[in-house]
Amino acid sequence: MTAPYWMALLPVESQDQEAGGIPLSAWVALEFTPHVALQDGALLLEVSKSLRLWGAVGALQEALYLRLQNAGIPIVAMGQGDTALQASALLQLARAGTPLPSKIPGGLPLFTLNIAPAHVLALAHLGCHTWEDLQALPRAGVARRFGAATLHALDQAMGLQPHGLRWLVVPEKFDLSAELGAPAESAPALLYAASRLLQALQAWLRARVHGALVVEFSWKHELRRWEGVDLPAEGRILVRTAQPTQDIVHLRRLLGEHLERTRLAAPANQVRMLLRESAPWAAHSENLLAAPPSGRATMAWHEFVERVGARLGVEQILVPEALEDHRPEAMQRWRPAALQGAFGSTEPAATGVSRAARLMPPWLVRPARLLAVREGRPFYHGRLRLLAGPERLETGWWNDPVAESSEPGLAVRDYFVAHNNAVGWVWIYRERLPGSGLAASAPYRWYLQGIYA
Amino acid sequence: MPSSLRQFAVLPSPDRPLVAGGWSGSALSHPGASTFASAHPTLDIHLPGGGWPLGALTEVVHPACQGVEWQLVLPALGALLAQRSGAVVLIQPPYEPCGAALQAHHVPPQRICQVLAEDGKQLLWATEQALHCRDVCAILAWLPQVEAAQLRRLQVAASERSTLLWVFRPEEERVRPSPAALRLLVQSAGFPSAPALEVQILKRRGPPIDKTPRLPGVQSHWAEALQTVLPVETQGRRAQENDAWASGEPVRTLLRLVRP
Repeated sequence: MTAPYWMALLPVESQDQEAGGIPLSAWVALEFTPHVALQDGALLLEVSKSLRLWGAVGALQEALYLRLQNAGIPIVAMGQGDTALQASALLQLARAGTPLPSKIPGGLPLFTLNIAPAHVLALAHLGCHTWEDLQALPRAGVARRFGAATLHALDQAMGLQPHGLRWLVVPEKFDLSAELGAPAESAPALLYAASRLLQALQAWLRARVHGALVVEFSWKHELRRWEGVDLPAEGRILVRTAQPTQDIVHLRRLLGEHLERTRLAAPANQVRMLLRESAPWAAHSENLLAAPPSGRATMAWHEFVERVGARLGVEQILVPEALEDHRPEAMQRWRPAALQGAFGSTEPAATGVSRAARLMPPWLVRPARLLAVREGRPFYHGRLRLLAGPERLETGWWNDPVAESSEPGLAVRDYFVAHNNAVGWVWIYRERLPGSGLAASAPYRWYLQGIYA
Repeated sequence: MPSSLRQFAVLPSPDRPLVAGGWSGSALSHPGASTFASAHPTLDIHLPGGGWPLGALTEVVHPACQGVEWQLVLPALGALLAQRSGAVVLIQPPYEPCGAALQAHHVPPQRICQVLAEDGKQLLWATEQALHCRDVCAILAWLPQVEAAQLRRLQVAASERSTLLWVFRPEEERVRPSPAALRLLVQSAGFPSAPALEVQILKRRGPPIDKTPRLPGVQSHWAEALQTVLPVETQGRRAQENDAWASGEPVRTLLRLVRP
């Protein structure tokens, strides 16, 4: 078993940076070790188990410092030692600006020990100024004169007696709110507050080994009425991601895209972040041998879909879905890519391709474009010459024959491949609706349905 | 001879450029450039590296009313999707891609995704995002209104990854300068019964070219399928057909020309 190693930190925090009674700094500290306790406003961390990961105390300290600074929490002082009390004694000295004694822990002054101030004074009169001096006194006499508590405190500080601390535990549910220092007038201004909450969320996710799926971000308005209009109590945004993530950069980007498009009804003074759904998270293994070829971080497919969907709208990034229908306009429909879930990587192409599909053009014109007819012949950037056809299509009788709506209707058509020099090869059809083509005098209606090249 | 002197003793040649990444103007670009065969043999011999450049911008200008895009890229796309995982992203296509037809050319529709937007800036942004996505293996972007500086930005973004990127633009844009590594003018040509694409290389990393390679526009399934339904084209019949058109007879009489 490794010897315990303690760090004591004194962060500067305002009251609003608390969540469920735990200050934000403790959330951050929980990323580094599960053993975090709070005593007299100072954070106590037992880091011996994490040292191997970080390599050295210095590296861990630096990372912790940086992480807290990024979260907007400056650290006033820091102390380290073999026991929690030694660390906090050093923290006290560092905070007071007192030079450190040459001998630690023996040379530490008595006032840093958790004993009654009257006893400290009495011991000073005896010539006892340091922990070492107190330890040198006969134990029975000290216990009689200063009480067993004094001896107990000394033993705990020297690591001879166990020191029971209440470890901070991450709450079951992530629900964090924060007061804004100044009311936020615009939605993007909320992003700063949101990113601090996201940092706490990341700490929570890491401590719980979970990945976020649905995050709700909401804000409360300071006022009930604004410019003569009653305000809703709050505004909210739901951010969804397809795969559980701990990557707050991605979440912040999504949130930022949503906030860009949001208009605040009134200045907001309180924000809240609630983790609606999460899933157990499995970290990806790093590649042992080679770094990825490009140094730049790249996106996964779902991240791409979510980012584009967040900015342009979910309906603007689409994937096709084949339908069982012979009418070209009903053969496929486009669905939001975000609904598709996982992206199919390398499915082999279907082998059986029907003859009809082989003749289909790669471009579909939808809705089919009505072509001009001159001298009884279809006209599109010039006179079209029919090359092949007709290929007869009669289907959709179950639909309403008056197909003026967006729904595909009755299709009674003859398809042709046509060509002219301006447009190349196109796929057109002639409508044979009942009654329209029977009389020789009635002209056919021609439509452009597809383009080959 | 010391090694530093030896370097100067050797004259730069296409195989041994003086500067890394440089090439002699009279030769096609450095052989190290990675490409993907376009599967149009007549085009490949004129392209530096023998194919579409990977990790570079390919700009295709074409007449607005012609839909030449798929005929140009489908053969390469089908081969690419068979080799690599990843999606094909279409940015604001002018028409709707037909899944069944693409499937017949070995491009599974489930690996296609289209991004639609009204604003040109958003389209550029989406194209750039797609370039940064590791699960995208090819991008076809229709960017009619885009400035050279914005295209350069795409070219820089493309150079970081080995994605195939085609940008399609209207023919009028050919007079403007472009930062693309390869620039083609493509239009449909050929006889009605023998579809072809006429490709003119406007810019490439190599000497300028006067020839216009003519590709069989339809090599694969639909060419064969078209041949099976095409009428036997004889001069006499064509004349007869034209007469029929000219005389304004009902179309029905023409259909007899179609081989059963």
